[in-house]
Amino acid sequence: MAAAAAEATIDGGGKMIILISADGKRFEVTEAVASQSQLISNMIEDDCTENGVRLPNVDGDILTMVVDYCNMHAGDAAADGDTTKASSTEELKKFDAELVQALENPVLFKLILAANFLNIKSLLDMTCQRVADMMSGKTPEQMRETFSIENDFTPEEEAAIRQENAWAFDD
Amino acid sequence: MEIPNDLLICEVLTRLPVKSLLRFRSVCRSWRDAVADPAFVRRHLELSRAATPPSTTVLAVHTRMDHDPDDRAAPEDVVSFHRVRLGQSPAAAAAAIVELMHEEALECAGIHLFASHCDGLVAVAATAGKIFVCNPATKEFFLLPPGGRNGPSNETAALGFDPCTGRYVVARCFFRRDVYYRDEDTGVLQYLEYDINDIVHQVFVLGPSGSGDWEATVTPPCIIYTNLPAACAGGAFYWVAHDKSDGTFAVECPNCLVRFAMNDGTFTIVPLPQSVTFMDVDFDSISELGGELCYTQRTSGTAYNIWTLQLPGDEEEEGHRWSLRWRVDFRRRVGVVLPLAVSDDGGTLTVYEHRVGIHRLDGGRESHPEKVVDMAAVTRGLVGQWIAGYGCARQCGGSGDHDREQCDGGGAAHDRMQCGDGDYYGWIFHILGHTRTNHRKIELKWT
Repeated sequence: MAAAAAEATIDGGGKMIILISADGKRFEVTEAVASQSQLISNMIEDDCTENGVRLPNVDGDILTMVVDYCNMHAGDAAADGDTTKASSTEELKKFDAELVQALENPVLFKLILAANFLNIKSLLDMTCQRVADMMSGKTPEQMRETFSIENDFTPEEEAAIRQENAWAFDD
Repeated sequence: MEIPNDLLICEVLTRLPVKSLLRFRSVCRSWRDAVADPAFVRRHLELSRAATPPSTTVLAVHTRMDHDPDDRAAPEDVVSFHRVRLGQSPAAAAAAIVELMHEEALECAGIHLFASHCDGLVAVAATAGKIFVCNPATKEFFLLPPGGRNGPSNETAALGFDPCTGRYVVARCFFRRDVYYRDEDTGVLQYLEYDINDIVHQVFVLGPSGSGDWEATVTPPCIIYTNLPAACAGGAFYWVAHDKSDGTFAVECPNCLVRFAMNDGTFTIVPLPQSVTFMDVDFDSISELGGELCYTQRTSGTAYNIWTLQLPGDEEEEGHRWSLRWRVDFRRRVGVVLPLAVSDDGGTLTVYEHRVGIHRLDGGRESHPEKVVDMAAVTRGLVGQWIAGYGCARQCGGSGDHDREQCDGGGAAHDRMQCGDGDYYGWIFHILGHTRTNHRKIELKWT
């Protein structure tokens, strides 16, 4: 489990980085794994990861998932010669599918916020697609409820908009 | 735990199918405004192009309703656009779901339609000389200006996308004067003498960067056969044509294609696939398939060959190369067959069989087709919508006569002979093809 990654071996001689979650949990990962996050990649370039990277927006349980994901996908970014370490495409697909299928609100939303904050594009794509898939069959009322959105239309305006797109309301 | 609205809009809403997106316009003002934003529309289309291939087929249906069989009043022509959702298995073929997206009365007489689509936008040329552009998802419907065209000579039009400029373009082709007439006894079209200067080829650029009117291009290098629809692939329009350079004159037997490149405005002659001397105008067709130009060739009463065109590279002297991608053998008699879509890995081909259904071919290029949509089910769906929409009483006193399956034509290429004749009402299917829906505003500019 990546949560216990303090013992992680040093792959390919990469430097290790410590990530620290909002609730103080520590994760040790290679630079290759961590730099899938554009945020951390920039920090590595700027040499400001010496004392660990504090991520005050990300809880330990969410960071566990993020680190798992990045460990699995580190192969994507690996150098061409280093294909032995890379997970096979099939395995990755299965891993991604299982990860995303298991997610429900609010964990899914937290993971989106983490992926957005850490700037991990592939994880953000995947989690946002999952939310979009869950939304697609829903009604506008259900959307307002799920995302706590206030209906700021007048009844007349709302009726007019619904009329414009009547076909979109058929099941 | 909330997702901030801006993140929700730019990362989540952009991944929704168009139907959901249009429904969610009514959630709140910020969502409604976001959906209309051009940057949002662009990103939505990009993501949708990158995602899985479209799973719906759009159907254009021309319905002719004759309220007055004694011919005192002209029949009313309505064009409507429907989405057909493919069944996931052959067993579900009979349960095809047909959704009405948009319908529009066409105020012109004696129409028959050429419908052409691109990214969910549709251009419809009615032979009365009117060309419409429609986005059925957003219900925009525009009549393009006539642009100096006079007389009801034969005309065909196609809609395409220019990847260099990101603009949608309608191309049309017509004869300056009538060059054929219909023999009154036999009903056969006869061609009059004409030459290359009788052909007019024009483009209309949609969107705010267009001029808002038709722009003439150079004259095509050979006679375009306007009775078959054109296709657009890879930034070029392709027209069925007849090259007289070998001395034969038989415009009804097209023997080449002409390619109009949008980026430099030039024409080139493209030969037909190796084994095709003349195009069989009743069965063969050209269309876009997986981003390439595709030629569908009937090889026997039961089988078709499906070819795709590779363009010559910049360095190559050699011309266009056709590759035979599939041999589709139905092992029974088939009518017109039109390819609709190919999966990204090239493994699955979806084809439309005129009047019968939509089939899917998995695996090898000689695999057996499996029906995924039954056109009889589609017809039932259309009839249901039609009755609900127009009311039986208004049409025929509720006698139910019109319930009979009257689908004619189909395969956008091949129903032109059935349309426009007689005062029956019925459904004339144009399978527009497999397309993604798009909520891009057409944004016509008017001068």
